[in-house]
Amino acid sequence: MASEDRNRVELLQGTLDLIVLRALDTMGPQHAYGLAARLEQIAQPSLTLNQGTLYPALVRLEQKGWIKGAWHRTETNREAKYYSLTKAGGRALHKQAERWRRLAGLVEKLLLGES
Amino acid sequence: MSALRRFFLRLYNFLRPSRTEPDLARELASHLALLEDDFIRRGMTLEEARLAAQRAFAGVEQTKELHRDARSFVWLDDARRDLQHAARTLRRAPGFTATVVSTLALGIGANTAMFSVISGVVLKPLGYPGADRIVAVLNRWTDTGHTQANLAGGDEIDISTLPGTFEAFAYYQGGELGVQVGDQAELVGGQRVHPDFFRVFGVAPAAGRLFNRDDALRSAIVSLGFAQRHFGSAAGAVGHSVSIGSRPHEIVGVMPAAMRFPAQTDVWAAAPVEPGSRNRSGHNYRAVARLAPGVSVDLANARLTSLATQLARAFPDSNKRKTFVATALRDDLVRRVRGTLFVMMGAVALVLLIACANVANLILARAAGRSRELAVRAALGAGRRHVVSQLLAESLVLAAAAGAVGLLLARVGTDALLRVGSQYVPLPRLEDVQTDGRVLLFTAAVSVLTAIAFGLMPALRAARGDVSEALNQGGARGTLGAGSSRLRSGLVVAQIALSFMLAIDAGLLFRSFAALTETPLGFRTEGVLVAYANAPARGSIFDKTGLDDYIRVGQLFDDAFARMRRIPGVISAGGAMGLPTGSYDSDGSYAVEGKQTFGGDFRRMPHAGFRLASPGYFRTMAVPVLRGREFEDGDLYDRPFVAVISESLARQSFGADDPIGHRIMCGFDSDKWMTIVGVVGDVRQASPASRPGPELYMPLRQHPYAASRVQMVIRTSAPPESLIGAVRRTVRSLSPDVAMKFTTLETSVSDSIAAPRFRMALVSTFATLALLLAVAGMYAVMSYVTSQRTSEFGLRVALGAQAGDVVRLVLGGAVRLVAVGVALGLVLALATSRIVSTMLFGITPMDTQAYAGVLLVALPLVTLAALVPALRAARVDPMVALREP
Repeated sequence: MASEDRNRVELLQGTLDLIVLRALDTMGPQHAYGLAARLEQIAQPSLTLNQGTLYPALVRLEQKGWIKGAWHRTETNREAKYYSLTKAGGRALHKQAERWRRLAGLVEKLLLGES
Repeated sequence: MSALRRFFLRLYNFLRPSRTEPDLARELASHLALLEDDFIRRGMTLEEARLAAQRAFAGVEQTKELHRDARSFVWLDDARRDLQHAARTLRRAPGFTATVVSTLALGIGANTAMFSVISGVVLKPLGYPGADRIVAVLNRWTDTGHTQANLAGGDEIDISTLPGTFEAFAYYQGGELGVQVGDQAELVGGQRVHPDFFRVFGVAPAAGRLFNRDDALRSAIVSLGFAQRHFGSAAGAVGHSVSIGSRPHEIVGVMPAAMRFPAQTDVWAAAPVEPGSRNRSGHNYRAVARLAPGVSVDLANARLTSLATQLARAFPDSNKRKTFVATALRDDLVRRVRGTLFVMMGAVALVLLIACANVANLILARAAGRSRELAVRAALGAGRRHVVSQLLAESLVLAAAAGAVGLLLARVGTDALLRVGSQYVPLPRLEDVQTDGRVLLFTAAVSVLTAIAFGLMPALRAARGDVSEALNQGGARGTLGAGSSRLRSGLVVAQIALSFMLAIDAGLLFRSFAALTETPLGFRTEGVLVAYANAPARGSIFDKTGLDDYIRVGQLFDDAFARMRRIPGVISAGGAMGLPTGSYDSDGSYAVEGKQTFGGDFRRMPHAGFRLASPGYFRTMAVPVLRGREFEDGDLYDRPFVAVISESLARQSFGADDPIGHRIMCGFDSDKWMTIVGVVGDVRQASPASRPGPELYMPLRQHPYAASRVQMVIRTSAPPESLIGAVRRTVRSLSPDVAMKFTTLETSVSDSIAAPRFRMALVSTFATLALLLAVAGMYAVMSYVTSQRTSEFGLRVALGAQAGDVVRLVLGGAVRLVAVGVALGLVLALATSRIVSTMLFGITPMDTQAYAGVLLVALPLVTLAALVPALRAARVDPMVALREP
């Protein structure tokens, strides 16, 4: 894998993580499919998401201890793994959102200054 | 903390992939099901929904991959996948795999075998507690730099009392002892040792006790083997009495098998605390010591040097040129073989290098055939690094398999090495040669290095390949890139060069060994049985009864010789003390009446080897009597003393004059003038490699004190070994307490050139392997080149070329490679001739016959390897060749 590939993934990762955390925070426990549907819904049409890419983010977040998964039944009586935000996840969301806002503000300022 | 936590989670996931994998599959299945539900809700059929769901999901497998990547160490998982893939790929090419694995296994096996020997003999510590503190104390002559094991008794006493240097210090003396158990006499490995001898080694007895200070001359400790042989068990031996030199010794202890110093010792007899001789000019005692805690070998040597300086001042006559050296006992034991073993390791490493070149060539050839496969992979997104790691993984799998097979080969090879080396490698270390952890580690390391050596370059090359070029090639067989062909030719040239260098070294050693075996020894070896015999004489040598007993022993041997001559199949018989290539030796200064006076400064006196001989000895050995006579039955103790000298001694002391009738005296055992009665031909005393020198022979019967241990020689018309029983019975019938040990003169001489034989056998084997590999390499490359050029040859034949032209064309290419390789090989051989020159006898490192012989054998062999592909090329049917894509 070339190095620029990784950079792009890295950037996307951080964003995706934040989006997932935020979605779980507002929607409550959710399975991967529900999350994907939700993402598509809010992002359309600026982003079509390969639903598979969601999984690495879920694994990452689970490994960090920010979300945890548990098997439940859906309303349609399908089994699905529901992810929910942990306490640490809540704190992380707060911190990450803060960071993101600062960063976005900085980039915004930079872009304004250049034009 | 989260980084650490993730690390452990990943590690856990990597080690337990099976646990999370089903969970993921379950989750993905559920995801797909939910997607399908959705699509069905939007009005699709079940079938359409399933397809659409999978499309939306963009590949279940890919998702799993992504998941796995995030879950664990990507590179470790990659490596595992690469290795699995490599194993699969190689299984699909069994011919290639078998060739590579067997080639490498040969190289790795030979290296492992050689390393096993080095590890066991040179590297491993001796098996005693705190073995690094056990030293041998040696005598070094400062003017010549010559180091000898024997110390003078007086010096030994001073060294042993050096304050604070040694925890234990023990002198010892011996080699073989005649030991009588009950009414059975046996010649065994035996030593007379200082009471502290075993404290030096820190070995506790298997039964009984160690020596005390008052055990001298009346107690013995025996080996476990000896105890079991004679008394059934270790405990059963303690308290029994054995007779050593006709003196009863009580067995007070039994040593376990771990006590192996000196090699093959069965009986250690307690010697007095101080050696019998306190003078400083007779060097008769060896010494071992355990350094005191905190005393390094260097510190001990510093103290020994200052002691030697004091002694040189106090006793300039004897000690002016003398100093003492402490050497780790292990290093002292292997001193003789260490250099040779490392040179052999170098030689066998070359064999592996050649094998690597061979395999690299095979892989390059295969990579050329696979260039399209690799290009397709690159086109599908495999990175350059991925292609390289994939190819390296194949190399690793190959090398690992070769390492495993090599380990098996090494077991066989080590056994063979030990058989060849059994007369050469110092015995106490031979048993330490085994396949242990160190050897396994070596094999693993060598395998990995090998994989890199033969795999890296082809892999880098393959990964450099241009994708579009490879894909656009019309046929499966691409045209041969000029760079690749040059590289492969270079590898063949390197193989030929290295193998020629080895072959020339082997040729030199072979010629040298042939010179050794053909060199005239001065005596005839075939058909001579040798019996080492030891008859105990009772009593002191200082009084009349003692002397009488020694004279009785002399008469006993004379009677034995007379009876032996009557055994059917015996041509002649005699005896000596100091048989050529035997285990007894003595030498010193002598004086010729009217030319030198005995005594005074020994350094200005002529020097000779001292031997004792019986009547009939020279005849039996076929040593020619050049002037005068040999010894006769009448040359007895109470008759005028006589001597026989060798040709060299006659030349050294008498020039062109006739030495017969002159009188000579030596420091052997008496200060009587001896009349020279004969001159005999020179012999090579120590081994065929030694130069014939001055020898002074004296009658056995006139030197009775030294004559109780005799080497009997019996020339036979039947095979010598067949007479062992008859000779033993003859001697036993005269006296049952004579201890005997048999060999043949041929074996004895052959053992004396064990070192050059070992070197020759090894280097020849390595050179043969190397040449075969080079021939195989040549064949492979020429086959490949000709197969690549099939259509070209077809075209040539179609245009009118004769078969001979094609053969000449192919062979011409081969000959160019051979010429360059051989030229390089000769240069290498000359450059390294300094290493072999020290191992040569009778020839120079530039020996033209060795060079010519190797060229005569190897040149056609290597060139012929190209002939088969050449002939195949010439048989190409032009129509077939041209029609082929």
